Amino acid sequence: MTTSDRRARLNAYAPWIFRDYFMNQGPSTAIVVLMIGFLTLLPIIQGFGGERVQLGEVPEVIAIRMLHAMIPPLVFIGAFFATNGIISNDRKLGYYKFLFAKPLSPPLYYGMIFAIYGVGLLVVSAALIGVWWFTVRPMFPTALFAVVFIMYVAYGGIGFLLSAAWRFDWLSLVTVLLVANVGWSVWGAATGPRKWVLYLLPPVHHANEIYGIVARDALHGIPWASIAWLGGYGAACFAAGLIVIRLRSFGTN
Amino acid sequence: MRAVEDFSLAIGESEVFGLAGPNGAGKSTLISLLLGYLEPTLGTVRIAGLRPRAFVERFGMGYLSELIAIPPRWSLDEALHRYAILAGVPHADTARRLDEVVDLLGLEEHRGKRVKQLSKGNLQRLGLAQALLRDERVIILDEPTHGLDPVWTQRFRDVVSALRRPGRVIFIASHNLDELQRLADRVAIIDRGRLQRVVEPRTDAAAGSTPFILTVVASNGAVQDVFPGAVARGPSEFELPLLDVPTLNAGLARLLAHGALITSLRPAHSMLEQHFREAVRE
Repeated sequence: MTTSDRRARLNAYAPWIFRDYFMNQGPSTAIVVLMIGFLTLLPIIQGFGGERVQLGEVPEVIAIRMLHAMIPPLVFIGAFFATNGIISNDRKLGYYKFLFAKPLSPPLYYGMIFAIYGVGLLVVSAALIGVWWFTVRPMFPTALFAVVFIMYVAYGGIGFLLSAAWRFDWLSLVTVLLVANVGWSVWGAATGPRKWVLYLLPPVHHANEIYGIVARDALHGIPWASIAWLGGYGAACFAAGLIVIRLRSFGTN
Repeated sequence: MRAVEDFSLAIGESEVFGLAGPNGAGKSTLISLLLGYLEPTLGTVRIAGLRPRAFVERFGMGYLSELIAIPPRWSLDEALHRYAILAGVPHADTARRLDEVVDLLGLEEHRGKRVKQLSKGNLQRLGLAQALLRDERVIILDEPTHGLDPVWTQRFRDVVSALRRPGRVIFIASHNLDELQRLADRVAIIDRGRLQRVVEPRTDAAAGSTPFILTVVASNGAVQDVFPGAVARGPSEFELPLLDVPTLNAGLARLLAHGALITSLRPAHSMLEQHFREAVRE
């Protein structure tokens, strides 16, 4: 069986992966983000601290500020739900046994799942923008998709590596991001060895600049350096995850 | 801790090969090595000259694990459809092939059920069905009749017998020595991670190497006269001492001449069982 045969089979299997995403992670992501969105929107339509506004008629300035506030939970939850257990569950529950007795390359298989879940998250984001259109303000910020994509690679790549490495992936992803946030905000200006240790952690301090793309922060332009830092870090983690999948035997816990 | 060590074995291309051993002997570890799910810390495993993972990724294997792990939300049909795609069953043949394995394993009425709704026996049959989706060169079955009722245990033997073909290896790990005795060309007995011996059950099975159980309608005295040393094990049932074939046949002829009705004659232990007892005791 050639490599192209194996790829063709994975392509044929892709709709099932999509289906899995839209049966599991997709709705969970949408529901949690909608709840957060509702809690963000509620004070505005109730007029706390100003005039009451009608559903779907939130002033543009406020809508963009709201959008800026909604992006971090969307990208974090989206990446978190998509990569939580992506590999570790198959190991833990033994699903790998029948899967990888088939002529499949595990790195290719999980790489495809990661990519499809990323597309799934973009579709969920589009659906959420549809809800946004009717409940907040008719707008279609295309830049949001770029931000979701970059942040999915960034956070999702880390989640992918952790899931390949061990079973406590969700806990370790939250811990890593939390430690990175604290680390960069407390010691971000440090020099010497401490700074070098910080560089091992995800450069989450660049995330705000990336979220700013959606807020049409034209004054600062596109933050290419931040995109390269975060996206590159996530992509490197994803690549490391593929190597771990190849090297770490499935029969070990 | 070493689960398997000092284990050297070559399996022929068209063999049905059995693996027997007590719990914790290292059977599942050995199967994980064959599938490339574990890497040996020392030594090598090769299948057709390739490392197991390379072989599986290139050709695939029919594999039934001891514990069936399939996502519980999948329906039986969905599970088979997914595995068929991943196994490389051509799209045009998928529906036909699914119908064939479902029919072969009597799963028709369960096709729409979710995996979590299946009984242990049906789940085991689903596991076997997914292993048979494609015409694999290597089939590995780990405790294949675990959870099957007697009817399906017998049916399984027919299924495995039908799978025999030149160029195909069927590897069966089982606690069920009777099953291995009937199906396997050779059986490796493993204990505490070490290969104890390799037995050819059919070739090795011959009168004179095992005592027989005789069931006969005759007086106790008649049996003991003909076969001194015979021990009554129940009404009309006697365990005969170890005898060579001519002595056994002559004794049976004498019993028949005395008007006895012989209803059965069978080995007290299968040849494999005897080897197993000896090997595991060693």
